[in-house]
Amino acid sequence: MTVRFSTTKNIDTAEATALTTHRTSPGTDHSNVVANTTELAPSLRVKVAGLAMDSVNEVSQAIGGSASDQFVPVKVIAHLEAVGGAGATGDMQITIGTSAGGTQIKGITPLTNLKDLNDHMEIGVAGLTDSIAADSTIYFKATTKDTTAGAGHLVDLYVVGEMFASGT
Amino acid sequence: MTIRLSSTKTIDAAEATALTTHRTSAGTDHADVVSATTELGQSERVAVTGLQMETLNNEQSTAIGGSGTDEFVPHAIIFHVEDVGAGAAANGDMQVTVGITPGGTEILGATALTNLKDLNDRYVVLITGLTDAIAGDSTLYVKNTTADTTAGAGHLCDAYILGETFVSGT
Repeated sequence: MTVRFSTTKNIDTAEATALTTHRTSPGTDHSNVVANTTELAPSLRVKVAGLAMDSVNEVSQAIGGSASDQFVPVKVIAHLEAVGGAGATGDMQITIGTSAGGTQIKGITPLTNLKDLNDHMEIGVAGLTDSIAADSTIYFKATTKDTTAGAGHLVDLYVVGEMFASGT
Repeated sequence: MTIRLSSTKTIDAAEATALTTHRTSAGTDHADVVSATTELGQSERVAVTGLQMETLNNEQSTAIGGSGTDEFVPHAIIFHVEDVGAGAAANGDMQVTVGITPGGTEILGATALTNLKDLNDRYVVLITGLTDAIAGDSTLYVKNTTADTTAGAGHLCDAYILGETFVSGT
């Protein structure tokens, strides 16, 4: 089977602008579409990877948004992404913050029984929250190391939240 | 400005089938992509705005805006101080309910928003446990059941109700 596409179209300035700014139609750009469509875009999942379970250590990840937006975490999902030598017992404790060693998102929290490859633990984030600018960095710290984990046991953290334009 | 597109491509039977069923590639149609991609499609955020913090029994509502054949399952609510009045400051002792009828508590019984008092403060409430079936075309009601005892006129609170939409029966 053969399909042929062949077309020539003259477009006006508005259409050219729409194309160059990725607008879906003149006057409606992509950001408007997203803002008006509640199913899309406000949710965000920030991945902070590579926390070693066998030591007191810290990893971080920039949210990657705009300083004029606010990020509101709703839950975090911790995930055992790799296992090293000895088995872990699942007695690590962690904090999550927006500064090095910070606890703005979550104070000291045990990840009880998070010990086998691909184990996941969900933690709700409830209550009054600090304003977190969307260009902030999220810090994930092991405040108590797993007592038996060998080198190479690594935990990912997925911080799930909502984005708001500042003031909304 | 003139844009010219001109191309000829020979496709095989599998690609032809994919095209006719709107598949993004042979063997993977759009419905599969959506159901397998958790970032797309089903999550929803419903904004109920303008609740007066200083007024007992003030109530605001917003239609979810979905279909009557779908179900909406809320899992979290983010309350937000969107405006502060010119008068006295709030002290953060307001309580609210959230429901699908005026004054209803189907989603959230009376809940204290402790210390939600300053401009752009946010308070997250998680919804867990057994939920009523909420049709996707329902209206959500947020009610002030205990007014903030010190807030002056003009203190307004938004509620963003986060949830998932399901086709009825799934």
